[in-house]
Amino acid sequence: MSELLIELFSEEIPAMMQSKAEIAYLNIFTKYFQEKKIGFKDIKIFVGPRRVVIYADGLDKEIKGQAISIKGPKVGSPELAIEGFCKSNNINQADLVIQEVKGTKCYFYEKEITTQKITDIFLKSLAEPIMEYVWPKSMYWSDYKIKWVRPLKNILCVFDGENIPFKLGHLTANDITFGHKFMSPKEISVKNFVDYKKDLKDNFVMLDRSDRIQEIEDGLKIKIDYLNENYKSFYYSINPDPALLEEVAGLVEWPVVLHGRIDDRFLTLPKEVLVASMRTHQKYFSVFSNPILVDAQGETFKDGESVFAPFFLFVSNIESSDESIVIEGNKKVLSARLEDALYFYNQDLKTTLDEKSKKLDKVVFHAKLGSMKEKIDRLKELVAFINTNANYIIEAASICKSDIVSEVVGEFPSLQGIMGYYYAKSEGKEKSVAIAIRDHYKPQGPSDSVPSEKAGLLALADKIDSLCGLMLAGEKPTGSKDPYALRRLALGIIRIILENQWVGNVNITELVGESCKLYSKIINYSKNDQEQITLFIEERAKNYFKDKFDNSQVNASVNFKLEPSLVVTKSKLEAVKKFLSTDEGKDLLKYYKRVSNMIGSANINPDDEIDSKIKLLSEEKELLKYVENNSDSLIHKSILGYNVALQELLTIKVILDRYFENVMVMDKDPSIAKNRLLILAKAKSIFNRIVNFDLL
Amino acid sequence: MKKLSSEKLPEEIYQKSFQMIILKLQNFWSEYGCAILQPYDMEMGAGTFHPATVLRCLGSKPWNVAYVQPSRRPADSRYAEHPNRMQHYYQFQVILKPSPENIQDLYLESLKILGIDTKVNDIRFVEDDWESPTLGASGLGWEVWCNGMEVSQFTYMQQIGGIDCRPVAGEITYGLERLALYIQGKDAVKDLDWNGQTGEKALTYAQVDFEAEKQFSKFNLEVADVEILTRHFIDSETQCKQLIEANLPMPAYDYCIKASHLFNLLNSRGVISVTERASYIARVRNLAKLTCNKWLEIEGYNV
Repeated sequence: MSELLIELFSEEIPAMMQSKAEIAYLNIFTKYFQEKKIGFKDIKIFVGPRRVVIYADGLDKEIKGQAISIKGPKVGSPELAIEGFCKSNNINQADLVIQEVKGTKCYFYEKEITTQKITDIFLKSLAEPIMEYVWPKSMYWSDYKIKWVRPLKNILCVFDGENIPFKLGHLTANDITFGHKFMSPKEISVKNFVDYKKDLKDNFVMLDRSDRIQEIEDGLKIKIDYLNENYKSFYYSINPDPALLEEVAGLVEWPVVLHGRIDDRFLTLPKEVLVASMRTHQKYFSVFSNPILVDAQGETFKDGESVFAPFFLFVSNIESSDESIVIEGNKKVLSARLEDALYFYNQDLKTTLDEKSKKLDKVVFHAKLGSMKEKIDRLKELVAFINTNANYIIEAASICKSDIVSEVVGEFPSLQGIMGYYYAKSEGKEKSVAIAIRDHYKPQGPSDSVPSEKAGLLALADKIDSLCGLMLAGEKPTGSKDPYALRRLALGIIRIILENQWVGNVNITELVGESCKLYSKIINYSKNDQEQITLFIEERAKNYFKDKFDNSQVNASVNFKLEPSLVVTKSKLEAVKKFLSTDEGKDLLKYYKRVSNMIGSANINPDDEIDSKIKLLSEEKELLKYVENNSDSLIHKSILGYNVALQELLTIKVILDRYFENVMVMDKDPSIAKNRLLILAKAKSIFNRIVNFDLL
Repeated sequence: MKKLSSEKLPEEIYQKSFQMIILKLQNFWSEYGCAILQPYDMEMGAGTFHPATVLRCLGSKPWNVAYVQPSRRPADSRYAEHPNRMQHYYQFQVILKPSPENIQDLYLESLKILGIDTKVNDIRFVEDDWESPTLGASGLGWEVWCNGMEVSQFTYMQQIGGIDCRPVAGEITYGLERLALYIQGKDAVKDLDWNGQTGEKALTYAQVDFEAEKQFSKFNLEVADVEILTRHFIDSETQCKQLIEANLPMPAYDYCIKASHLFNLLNSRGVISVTERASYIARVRNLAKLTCNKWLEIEGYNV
């Protein structure tokens, strides 16, 4: 069994592209080995700041030669077909032999494949899988002809200790690599993967991303332990940030975690601003602390509310001979950043949110949908439409977008809402107003929490307004393209209503109708456009429910336009699920299917009148009577609750039991048979008053 | 590099002055074989706008130059009150076409010349792709960090004026103030030592430049006459197009730069809405494209 090691050594590869390339290369090389019919045991890909490494082991050394028969046209086929077959196999007609296949004589080509050395295959073809991956952005450099993510400097390729000098553009693969850019930039010759990994480590390069992540996590932990040792009145913990960890691991080959102190004067900034300043530009980790208090019994405990701690942790790519210079340098940069943030924050505090909101007429919401100012005006009306008593929410609505024109949000767009919260608090607004401003962007994704009652109202109105407007403006998502994240908006709407269990004035059709009406001054739309929006939400609701319920139950229960409300739809689904898990429920469904099949195959028109001249059996009378008496009451009962309604259906089961026991539906007399089918059709329709049983 | 102690030898001060950083960079790149050019005599947002970059990065002829370019970004006007944001600053620009195999090493070598030891300091190449919508230009590369501070931009030019660059030029842009802050161990640009002198000959960055910084901040943000600027923009655009018609791409390019700066001024006056902004950018880009195409045509390339 053999091993192949390839290293594509380049100038610094963007951190955010590395994991994706790892996955892609794994697929590409798996496919490549399969296509070339090369057996292998395992493939590992490592993509780091300066190298893309492909390692495969358990490889065949050669592909054994074999004879294969390739079937050609029948004997007597047109000359053109025979020639074509020869041409495609690159042979003459003299090379053909005739064999019988199931009594028909056919031409065959007995092809000999000679034994191929894997090294020959690699030499000829390794450049192909390497160049198959298209980086999200790639470039030309110097006067070379190949494109790569950043200039490719060297290629290493060894197979069982031997260099395979394949060519890629202007480069020829050799057996050397290089150590850390600054700590050990020397050439290292490579024979096998184990030594390669070790030699890299000896020369300050950690090849494996997961090793680097582990090293950074360990380093961060050591720093936190150090803080806890030395500053006993607080309990320190790292602000967890997996995305930052991943990014930083893609920026360094030899991670060294260092820490520095932040000047106290910056601590007046909201913690979110501090964290954003540190992470966005400088890729620093932040630390939080809880004060350690002593209770009446003299036991220490940590206080619940954690606060930003005046330290920054960062990852350097070098074991510096003078760490203090690295730390001082970073501290200075951070101070300048925080100075900026503080300047912006203080500027922002000079004007009220009301004053800021006056600038919103200059901020475009969408080219076709006017300004943010107009959006605010619509929001106020929509909020009042949903809940006429929500005065403080109308106040929140009128200033919920003001922080968009603040300096801090200009610098850190992800802090929209959060800054509004701080500014509202600082000017003495009620806490519920501040919280509504902060939380009205929530939920920002499936894992984000839903804002509660009060803030939820504003969040709902904002999402309905955005969704309706953007749909009317023609921004409906297509395939994987959803630049305005409309699917997320719809899901947010659904979750806000469901998780708050709102049944009041939150009927989707009405909300959409009202929202569209508010747009009528600036955009023309048809009834159909408006319906498309409801349908879009309905579609998302089905998807949402399908995560929790059986597909067919969702299709059967979620009716058009989500009437009367999502909460009701959900309770219906829960009832259906429960009902169909009982034996009686399952039996009833079987009856329904049986009835449905009979009617379906008999091809009758259910609207035909029942022939009253034909005498009915007592079981038939009973069934007909039940249907006539209960058709409407079932709907009323379903308002009381779907559990009740579905239980009620069990009454019909008892009647049907008797019916099928004693009635032969397909009577010899076709007019009697038809009559019976018509009665069954009426019975069938009663089921569908609750859910669409056809889809179950 | 050792931290500056309070007792500084005059020689050490002299060696770390703002002007000495420029002189050392000029020397370094001159020894490498670059032609040392002078700043272009027009207002521009960055060293990239110099015709020695925009026009000469196009076409196949080798081109290795270095120069200082005073640069203006009206929107960064802060009345000389911000520690390191100014409407006027200096860039040191290096263009190497085709980009040599060892361009990163050359750059790191130049840092050493400036006294930045790469075994002590944490030097990092962090992805930062460059794009100039007004020039229709783009490139891939990094910002270079020294202990977390961005001290340079490093770009492989891919396109200028919408035209593919072949061969590709490597562009290194040193942020001279940032570098000097680091080398001199200062916190604010105003305190940078300009000429390394002591006594009455001594000059700081603030003494040289900050009166202008204050006056131009006021001009950029408050005073510049919007009507005049708007008119001049239209005039520049018209002149540029006429010059292209007359097969004079170099003077045409001057008017493209003028239009770009006038747009920046209008922007800093806060009179350009989002939609207008896009249309202004498109108009300047059009001038840049026309100019670049004409330049290549006059140079004898097939366009």
